[in-house]
Amino acid sequence: MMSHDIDQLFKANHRKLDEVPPRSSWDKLEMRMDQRKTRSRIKRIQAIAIAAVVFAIISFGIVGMLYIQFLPQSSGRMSAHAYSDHLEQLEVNPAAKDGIYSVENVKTLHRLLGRASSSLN
Amino acid sequence: MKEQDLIKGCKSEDPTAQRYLYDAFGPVLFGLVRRYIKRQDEAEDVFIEGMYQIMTKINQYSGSGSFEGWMKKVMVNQALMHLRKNKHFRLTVELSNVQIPTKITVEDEIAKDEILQCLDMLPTGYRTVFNLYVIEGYKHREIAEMLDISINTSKSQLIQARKRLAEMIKKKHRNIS
Repeated sequence: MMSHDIDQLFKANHRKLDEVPPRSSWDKLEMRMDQRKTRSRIKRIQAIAIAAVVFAIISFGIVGMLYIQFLPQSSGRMSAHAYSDHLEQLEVNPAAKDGIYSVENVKTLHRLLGRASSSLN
Repeated sequence: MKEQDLIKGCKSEDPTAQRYLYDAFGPVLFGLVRRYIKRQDEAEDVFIEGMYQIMTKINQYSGSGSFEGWMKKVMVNQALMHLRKNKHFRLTVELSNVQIPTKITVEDEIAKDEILQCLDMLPTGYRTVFNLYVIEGYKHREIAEMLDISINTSKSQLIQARKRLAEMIKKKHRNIS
C-alpha cells in the first residue's frame, strides 16, 4: 500500500462520512418552513389590515374636513336668504309684525346672521 | 432534475424541488456537519438549521461558482456558529509552543468509523481548524478571520491536529496487526 500524509488520507476519505440524515430531519425542516410561510402570511394580512385602517382614517378625515369647510357655510347662507325672504314677507304682511317676528327683531337677527356668514367666509 | 431547474424551483419555494434538493445534497451536508459536531443530536439540529438557511436564502446564491460549494459554506458557517455559541473553542496554543513534526506517513485507506472516531477524539479547536484547512480548503488567513483567532494559532492547531491524528491512526493499525 502506498503511503500518504495525514492530510491526503482524510481528504481522500472524507466522503465516506456522507450519511443520510435522520428520518426525523425532513419533518422538522418542513415544519420550520411551514411556520415561516404561516408567519409571512400573517404579516401580509396584518400589513393589508393596517393599510385598510390607515386608508379609512384618511378618507374619514378628508370627508370630515370637507364637511366642516363647506356644509356650515352653505347652511349659513341659506339661513340668511331664508330670513331675507321672511323679512320681505313681513313687510308685505304687517300682521306678522307682532311677537318675536316684529320687524325690529327680524332685522337684528338678519344683521347677526350676516356677520356670522361673513366671519365663516 | 437539472441543477438550474432545481435552484429555480427552490427559489420559487416549490416543495418538490426543496425535497429533491434535500435528498440529493442531504447526505453530503450532514456528513460535513458530523465532521464538526461530535454529538449526533446537536449535529442534526445544526443540519436542519443549515438546510433552513439554504432553502430560505437561496436567492442570495448569485449563480457564479459551484452551488454545492455555496451550500457547504452555509453549512460550515452554521456549524461554526453553533460551536462559538456553545463556547467549544479553546484556541490558545501559539505556534512557538508547538513542535513541528516530521512528515507523517500512514496507510491510504481508512474506514468511515475510523475517520469519525479519530476526528471526534480531537479537541474541538484542532478538529475545526483541520476540517477547514484540509477538507474545506480554506487558507490560514481565512480561518483566522472565521474563528477570530491569530494566523499563528490556526497554524498551531493544524499541526497539533495532524500530530494527534497520526498517533491515533498508527496506534489503531498497530493494534490490528
